[in-house]
Amino acid sequence: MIDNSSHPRARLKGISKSYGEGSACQEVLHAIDLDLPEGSLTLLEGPSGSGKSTVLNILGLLDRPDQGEIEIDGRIIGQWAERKLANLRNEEIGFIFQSADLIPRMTALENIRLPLDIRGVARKEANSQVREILDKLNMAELASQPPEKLSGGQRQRVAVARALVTRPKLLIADEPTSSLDGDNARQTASAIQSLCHELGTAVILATHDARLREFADRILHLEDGKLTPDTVTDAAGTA
Amino acid sequence: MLSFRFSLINLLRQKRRTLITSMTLIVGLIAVNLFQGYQSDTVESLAETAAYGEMLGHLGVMKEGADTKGKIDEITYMFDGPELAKTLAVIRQDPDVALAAARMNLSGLVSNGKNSIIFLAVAMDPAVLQDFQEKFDWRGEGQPLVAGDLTEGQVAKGLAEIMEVDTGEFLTLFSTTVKNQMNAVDVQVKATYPTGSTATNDKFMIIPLALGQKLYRTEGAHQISVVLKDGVKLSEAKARLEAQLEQLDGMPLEVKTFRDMSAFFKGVEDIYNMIFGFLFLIVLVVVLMGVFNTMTMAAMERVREIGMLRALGMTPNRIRRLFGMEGLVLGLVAGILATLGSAGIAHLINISNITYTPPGISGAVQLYIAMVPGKWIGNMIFLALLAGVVSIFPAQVAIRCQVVDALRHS
Ligand SMILES: Nc1ncnc2c1ncn2[C@@H]1O[C@H](COP(=O)(O)OP(=O)(O)OP(=O)(O)O)[C@@H](O)[C@H]1O
Ligand SMILES: [Mg+2]
Repeated sequence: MIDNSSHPRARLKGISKSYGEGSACQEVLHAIDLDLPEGSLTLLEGPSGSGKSTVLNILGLLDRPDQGEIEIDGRIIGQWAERKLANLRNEEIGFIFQSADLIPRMTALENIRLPLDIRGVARKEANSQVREILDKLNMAELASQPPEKLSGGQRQRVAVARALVTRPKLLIADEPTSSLDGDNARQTASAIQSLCHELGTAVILATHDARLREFADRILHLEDGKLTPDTVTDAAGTA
Repeated sequence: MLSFRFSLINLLRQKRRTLITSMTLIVGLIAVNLFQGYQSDTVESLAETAAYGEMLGHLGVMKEGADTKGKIDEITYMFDGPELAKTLAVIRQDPDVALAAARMNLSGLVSNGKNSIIFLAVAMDPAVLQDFQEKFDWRGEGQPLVAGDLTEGQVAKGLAEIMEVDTGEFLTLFSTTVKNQMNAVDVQVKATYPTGSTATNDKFMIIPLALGQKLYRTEGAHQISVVLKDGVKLSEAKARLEAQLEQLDGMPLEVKTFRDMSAFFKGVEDIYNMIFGFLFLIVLVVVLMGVFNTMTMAAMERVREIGMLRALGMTPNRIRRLFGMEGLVLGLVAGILATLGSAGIAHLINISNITYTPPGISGAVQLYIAMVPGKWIGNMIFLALLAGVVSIFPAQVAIRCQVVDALRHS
């Protein structure tokens, strides 16, 4: 089971979210509670449209819940202004989405450096941090390539590097492997896993891809607006 | 700098669109610059005309009220002989003054023995007149007045035709003296010349100061024309001269610039300024609408990318700055090209020697565009800054919404 000595890096309490109004109103999340501990990878499964992305977006401060409380590294996020949310995202949260969404014409190095540039890290220092993470992901030779010259798998690994270069406390990965083939998917997931263990990052990863189960420390299931532990694989995750 | 890097990348992303927007900017700015260069040259040469051609000098010194009450009570507001000498002495001490000369503004009747008609005349020292007139190409018949002439005069072409006189022939001038008696003097027509203005071509005359003083029976004059040394600032020289003239107790004087004295100059300058302002406004509106439109399209295309940047922690203000910088860079690059283009086109126009005849001027003038780099760079910076400012607003489409909605955009 979860290592109890580590305090949760992120926590959702009683989160609800609906879309639409009146008779078209559809409650996607119903009073969800969730703890994400340090250094552990949580896999979020559930049928299409069950609300996985909604959970991740709320957790990543990209969307606001209708009700409930979000806590990131001990801080309760209330009705914060967008500027404050942006700064918190930059400092503490990394994102990987289904598509890499790299900035065209910028080299891989520049793309990975973006969050550090936004943070205002000095150029030299930022470059060395980028090189370090590129080395860890075995892709130092791609540093000077623009996204146009990279394969889908390489692009996605650049996105992983960009998400982790700031050493975030929380990593949010929404179907990071769904556009990749088997090998690339495994490589990407493995990269996420090893970095998050090394950096102590709390990871939540939403996926349909059963092959990623082997990387999970914990698997959660989302259905009908409710979150349940996956009973079958839960034990396997802690092996 | 991050936003500068983004600007370049984004501007190169839609090359065609950037090119078209730049062209609007360039064409608009060149039109503004060329007009400004043309205006500058025209006003400059009008200033020359006023200072030397109208024989006003850069500054005019006269008794206070000479321009207003002096029109009715001419004698009271003229310098008499001793006053003129004292005032000239003070003015000539000023180190900025190149030349100071007495000037009379005469009027009366001119006769050829058969008919008579109203005339206006300026009377000045022929040596000074020679200096002034040598600044322009001589376009009359005969020879202009030179130092030493005493009884000769230059007669406007139209007036000479009405009076049916040629060079060498005589006219008689009638007027009242400072003691209010009738007087007449003869003047020999030394030259006939076009005055350059249809308003004066049928009544104007230039005569030696001595002849004018003889007609009015005075040693004095109406005013003093002051020519400043090269590079002296008009307003500063005026202030200094005013201060120095204070020492002449009991004789209140005023100092006027040629801008104030030449109604023609002032009128033309005002009209040019108005046309320029209007042109600049139109160009500004067209160009800024173009930039706004381009940046709106860019923002729409980039909503998703901006969503990503927001997810990475870019604040709304930072994103606005990104857009502002993009407009600024676009404006500056186009502005620099436009400034260079303006210089090139101005040069071509100047060497191709195009002439035209403006209204109210009795002769062809060369179309000349003055290079005014200071003003052109000012226009460029102004336009670029405004392009930056209007580019900020389109960013709103990607900032207003939740990050997740921006990311969902495709
Ligand atoms: N902006 C929105 N407006 C209206 N409905 C929305 C919006 N976003 C999500 N939904 C609805 O909320 C539900 C949950 O969507 P969500 O994207 O969170 O599901 P998901 O589990 O991530 O699905 P998938 O596996 O297909 O990615 C879906 O029924 C979706 O149609
Ligand atoms: Mg989803």
